[in-house]
Amino acid sequence: MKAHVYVVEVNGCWQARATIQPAVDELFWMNGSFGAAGSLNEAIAASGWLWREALPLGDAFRVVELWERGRMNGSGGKKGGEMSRQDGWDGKGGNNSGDDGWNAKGGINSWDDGWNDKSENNRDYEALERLNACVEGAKREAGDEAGAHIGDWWKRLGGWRKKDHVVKRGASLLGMAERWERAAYSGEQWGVELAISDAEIREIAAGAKLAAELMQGRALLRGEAHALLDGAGGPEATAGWSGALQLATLLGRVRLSGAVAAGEGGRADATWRRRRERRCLRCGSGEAHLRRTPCAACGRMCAYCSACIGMGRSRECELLVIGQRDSPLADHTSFIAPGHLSLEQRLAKWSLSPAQSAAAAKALHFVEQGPYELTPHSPAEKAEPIRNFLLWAVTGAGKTEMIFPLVESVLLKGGKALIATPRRDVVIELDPRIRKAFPQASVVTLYGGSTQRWESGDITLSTTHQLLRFYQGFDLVVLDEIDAFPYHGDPILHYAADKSCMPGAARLLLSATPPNELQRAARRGKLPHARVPVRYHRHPLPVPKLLRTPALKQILQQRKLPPQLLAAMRQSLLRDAQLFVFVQQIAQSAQMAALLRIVLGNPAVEATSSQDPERAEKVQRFRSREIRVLVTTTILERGVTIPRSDVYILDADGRLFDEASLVQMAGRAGRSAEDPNGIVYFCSPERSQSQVSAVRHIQTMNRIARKQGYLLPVGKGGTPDE
Amino acid sequence: MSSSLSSLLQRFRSAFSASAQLLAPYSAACCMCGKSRNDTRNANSPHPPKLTAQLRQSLCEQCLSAIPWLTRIMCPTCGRGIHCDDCVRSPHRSFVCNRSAVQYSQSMKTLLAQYKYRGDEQLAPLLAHMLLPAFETMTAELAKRQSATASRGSHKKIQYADYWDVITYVPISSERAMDRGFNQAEQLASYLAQRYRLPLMHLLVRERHTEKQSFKTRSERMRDTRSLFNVNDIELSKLQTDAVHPVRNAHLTHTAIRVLLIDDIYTTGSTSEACSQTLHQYAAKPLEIYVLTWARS
Ligand SMILES: [Zn+2]
Ligand SMILES: [Zn+2]
Ligand SMILES: [Zn+2]
Ligand SMILES: [Zn+2]
Repeated sequence: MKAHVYVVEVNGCWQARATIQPAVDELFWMNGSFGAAGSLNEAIAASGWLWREALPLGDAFRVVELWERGRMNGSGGKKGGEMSRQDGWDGKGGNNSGDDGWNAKGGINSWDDGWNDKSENNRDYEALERLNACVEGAKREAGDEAGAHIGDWWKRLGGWRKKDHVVKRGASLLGMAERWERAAYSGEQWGVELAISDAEIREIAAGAKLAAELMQGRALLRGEAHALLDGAGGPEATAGWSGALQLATLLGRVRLSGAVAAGEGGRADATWRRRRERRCLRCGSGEAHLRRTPCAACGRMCAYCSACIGMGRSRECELLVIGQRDSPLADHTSFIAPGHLSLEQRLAKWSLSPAQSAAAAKALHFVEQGPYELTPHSPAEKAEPIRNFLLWAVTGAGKTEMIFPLVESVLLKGGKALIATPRRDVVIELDPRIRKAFPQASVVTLYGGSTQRWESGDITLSTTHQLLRFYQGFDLVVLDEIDAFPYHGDPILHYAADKSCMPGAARLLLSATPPNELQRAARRGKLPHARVPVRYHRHPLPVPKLLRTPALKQILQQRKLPPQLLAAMRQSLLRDAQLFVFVQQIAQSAQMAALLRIVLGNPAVEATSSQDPERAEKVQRFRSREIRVLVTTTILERGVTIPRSDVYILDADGRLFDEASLVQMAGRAGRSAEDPNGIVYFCSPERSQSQVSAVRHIQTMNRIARKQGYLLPVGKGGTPDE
Repeated sequence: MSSSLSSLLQRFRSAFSASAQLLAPYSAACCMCGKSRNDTRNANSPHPPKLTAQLRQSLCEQCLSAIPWLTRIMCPTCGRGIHCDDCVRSPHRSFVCNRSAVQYSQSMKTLLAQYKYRGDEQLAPLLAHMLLPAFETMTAELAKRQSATASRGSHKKIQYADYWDVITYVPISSERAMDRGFNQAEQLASYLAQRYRLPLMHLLVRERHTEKQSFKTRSERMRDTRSLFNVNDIELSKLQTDAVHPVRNAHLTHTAIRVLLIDDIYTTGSTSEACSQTLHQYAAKPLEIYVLTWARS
């Protein structure tokens, strides 16, 4: 899309802005009164210039940047030699916060030379000249970049062609812009003709209020913002809601930008002509994921992001709308223990096991400590870092219950909590448990295709990908399965997980098998953490037994199970257990299932994998014991919990099964209090380092649990040492 | 402890490949299924049409061999792979014939949607490359027919540019262009023009915006597409002055200006028909219009 740029003189300073609905800006600056909403602007402008030509969105925002940069240099006279300025543009002074605008006292900038001596009209005209220079500057940059990026076969389309940018003067320049003057409202009539009617003004003011409210903590593309407002009964016509968003922007409740743009403020390049690195502001992807194509919507070469295209196309001329959110937690006086109950008293209601309780108390203390004691009265602009806390809880520890008190604490203070997990089925499974635990709270569940897409609640349950649509929306963020696909190695999800946190928010990282980096950081005291070494039922984790067997490939060729393996499986079936059989390759799963059906003489054997469209259904049948043996890949290493089950990992020495994966698969066994001692077999010709580490990992956890007294005593149904 | 998640997990890497759909690094992963192509290399499976290296490089073997190529043409008019009632019902078309590269199967539908509606324009070259075999076959047919009438059928290599005076495309409305940012048919036409050095012209414009075609019945669609198009006067007059066959060899015997019209999908043929009618109506010289589409539904 395209946007307009304008300059206005407020309190003797000229400022430049971009707009998607100029009429709203004109009213805002030149009168400020929005019907029933009353006066929304204290600082009315003296006059202004609207550049008549609509510019590609990215260029329009760039014009404002260039203006700011020039302004910095102008006022930079005060700071003397700190800033380099070979020419008026080379603004390295990005941290210059002087807001005295173009009226640079004693400025020696070429633009400012002797302006004091000139009449008011001359000053106005100069502002227009500066605007013109910024517009031409932005166009020239865009042209240069297009030339550098153009693909061979696109050249024929010709849309990118570089034009000669001529800085205009005099009458021709005045013709490029529209003059804005103060508009008085007398009774039924505006002093000057306005581009919007009274009815539209009412609609826009109401829409802006709604947009400010609904957009809080979100980062949405134009179409998504439109859908959000539409769903809430916002203005219907396109002009109406761009007006509403524009007014919300003027009021500082919403921030508009191109969805793909140069990073905040742009890099201070040696020469401003040099191509600026862009990135997708929605998913954080850099140039490697950007594709440039000639764009009919903005009329130039325009970069789009291929990395997050699955959630709608983010591009240079596409609007990204970010809603400002005021967190009630930012006011640190509210950090009083809710209800004046002690931490222990508040934990009591969740009936946690001793190990859960200890970890939850530590986490709760961390959450409630707040960042504000550390830096009291820090200005809101100063982004406070996200505070991470690692909750290292073994498989079956009951981590969801441990989160409850933390969520409650944040809700009691009026904050918002987010629980994000990589997988959609986990989100759906978590939903009823959260609603049951917090019957008073509003819960929104988000995943691809969820009906609550545009709702907002106290607690948000979400797949990780949906986090792309949030911006500083949450005071507590819980990231489940931090080491699992698809978090690891996916910078987009990391970006999304960072972006969704309110500055200073507490973020809980949950894992049974934290990545080495986190483990190391925790050990060195650099990452606050709590460890839960025992399952909620207080029995030790089943320690895997190593079974020397031929490689699966060989087993399948011989169509015969090694005798010990066959005996073990028969034993499992006899004790009425469900059997997880893990294999490395998808192709082997069906073959193995066929073989097992024969050798076990049992028809209730099925195979499933990531590519199986009936996976959910098969898991359901496995749960209901209709399927007794499920042959699968690492896809089921997490999440699926079956009460009475034994685990067989074939080719356990294979390269796809690392320590974390082996621990997770082993974690499928012994999950219920009724059958806490499931059996786990690592079957392979070789004993790999990963197997040894996994066994050690599990034994360490059991030892810690025993030492800390978390295991049930043998007399009370506890399991004796192995 | 620094607070960003990336820096927390900086050196943490796993043996598994990253998120397939989201992070397809665009040379290593298959454009259609997102899986790494290296795992499925299998050079000796046969493919009906000869495929360009680009095509082989962007798709995995599995996806490549699953492309429903339209190589067996049953209806010479509309290029269908099955017997065709439409062309029996209305045998008089304003274009000579249509040829399509692939059948509009579910997988092709998904691929087109990814490109056209999601806007993943990096797929444009892939779709264009899929169009090449159909274009070459179509031109070869044309060449065979011509050399048959002009006798002396010498087996020279076909110079594709000799057989076409102009290549153009089905336009989209300006609202659609603002919304989508590109015209898929134009991109395909532009690619072909570039590759075979054919003159690309913007002969048509779309008058008004219609509702989504998919919500209409077949006959409604037939009726509605008429009067939807207009000509671009400047381009059309340029075509008629330029195309006095300066490039065409003297032994080729046709007098009409030969136009290749490109679109993404051919369904009832009503869009191609409307475009062709419009062109015939406003052109001062006789035109011979051929239609080439990416998919036949
Ligand atoms: Zn992106
Ligand atoms: Zn654009
Ligand atoms: Zn593929
Ligand atoms: Zn036909």
